[in-house]
Amino acid sequence: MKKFSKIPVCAGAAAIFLMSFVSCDNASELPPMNDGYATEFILPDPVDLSMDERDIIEALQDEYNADIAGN
Amino acid sequence: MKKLTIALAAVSMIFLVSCTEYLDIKPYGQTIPQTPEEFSALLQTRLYQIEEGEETIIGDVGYIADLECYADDLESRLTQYPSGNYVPLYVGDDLSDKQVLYADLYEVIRDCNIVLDGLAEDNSQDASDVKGLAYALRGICYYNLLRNFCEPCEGDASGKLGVPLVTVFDMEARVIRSSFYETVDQAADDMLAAISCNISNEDYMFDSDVMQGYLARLYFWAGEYGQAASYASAVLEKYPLLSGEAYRSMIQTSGGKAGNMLVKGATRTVGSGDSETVSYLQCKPVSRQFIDLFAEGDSDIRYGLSLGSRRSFAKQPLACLRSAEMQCILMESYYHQGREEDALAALNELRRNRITGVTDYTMETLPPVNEEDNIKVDARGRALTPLIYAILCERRKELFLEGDRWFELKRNGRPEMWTHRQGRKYTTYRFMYTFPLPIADVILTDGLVQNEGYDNVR
Repeated sequence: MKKFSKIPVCAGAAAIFLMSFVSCDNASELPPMNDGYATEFILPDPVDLSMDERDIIEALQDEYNADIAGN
Repeated sequence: MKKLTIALAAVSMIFLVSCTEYLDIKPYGQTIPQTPEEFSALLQTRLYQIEEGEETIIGDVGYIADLECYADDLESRLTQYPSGNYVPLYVGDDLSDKQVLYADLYEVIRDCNIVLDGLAEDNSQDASDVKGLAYALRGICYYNLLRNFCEPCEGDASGKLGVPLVTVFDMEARVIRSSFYETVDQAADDMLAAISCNISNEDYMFDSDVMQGYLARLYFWAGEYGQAASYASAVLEKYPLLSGEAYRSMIQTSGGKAGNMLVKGATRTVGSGDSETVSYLQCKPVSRQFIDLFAEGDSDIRYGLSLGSRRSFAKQPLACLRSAEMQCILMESYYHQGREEDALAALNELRRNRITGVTDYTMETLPPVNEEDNIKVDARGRALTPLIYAILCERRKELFLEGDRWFELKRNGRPEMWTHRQGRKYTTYRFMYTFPLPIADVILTDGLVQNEGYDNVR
């Protein structure tokens, strides 16, 4: 009986002894904060330009073209 | 045999307790700072980054370029491609990235807290300088957090949120948001503490004059106009407005601080990276509305300094604090205090320093409000008068390409604007003027409130 109980105790002690050499590896590292979290915000989708808005852009473009042609 | 078993078990127990403090910070080949000189090394890194160019504390060309892309001095609806692919179309392109800005600001605050917690009582000037620098940087970071991540004052900020206030180094701390005014008080206390330290080391940049300038900025942003005017006046006494060639030289100097600049970012960087950024930014022509502000044309020295040919801009983007901004703060502060004659006098003083042969405005000769301007109300939410509109326009011309207009739009009503890309309309909504807090922080910290409009994430 005594012979059987000695083996696990010795094995356990040896295992703990060995583990003590590896337990503190990279102790200063912090887990990345963003792991498992979303990182991007979903904003309102762009919409198609209306005809009025297209006219505004065209007017801006015309004014700009006339301006740089005159420079 | 039993003794051997007990001995083995006892030895095993020793190994079990060996790692209880393994998460403590250990000086792996580094020094735990103790002297003022060692603590200053933490902050020297930040000063070096400011000189080289960074986007957290003072900014650089890239930072200013982004802010100008969000605002309306450059006409986003006339963006030319392919250069336009290298700059933001509107603020929505960058909102997710603002989480990095938030984290970076708190990293600077962390370094300042380590210095302020750890630096032993020491009456030497060196210690006082290091502490002063830590207070200055922390105060500026809280001011930057307030401007970027909190709603604007708009007359009365009671009930509005500030940012989490972290004033000691604690890795485990999970702090929720303070109120708007608590954040203002924290930033002001830090700036005043920096002044009381009377920084004498010129390499530390943030001396008492600079911090008075920042106090003027802070109180102006917070709508505390009496304090803002007081600090702006104090700075202007020491750094009077420049005009003529002295002004031209200051604006055109690349690299180091010049003229009546109190502090400037990216003083060592005059590299190809900046030239590239500026060339990409030229894909957005100067807006017609901005050009039309120069009613006096070439007589206004800023006209030629700001505008190039073919609707391009001529001015180099500037990240600095200079005394003309104090004049702008002064005239608007007087206006909001009801001192309209003083506001008009301050406005005329700035114009006399910029426009050759200009005739002073009187209340009767002020130009009317341009109804097409994106800004429709003033910083207190009131309708624009010709006087406040003239003040805002003068500021717009003076601080063109200095990253100011975006914050002016935010401070004065947060107007919605739109632009387009490939037939689609992109809108700068009111909520986008206030940047989002990092998603991870909101999840990890119970009670930390996200800003409006940022509930949907992926």
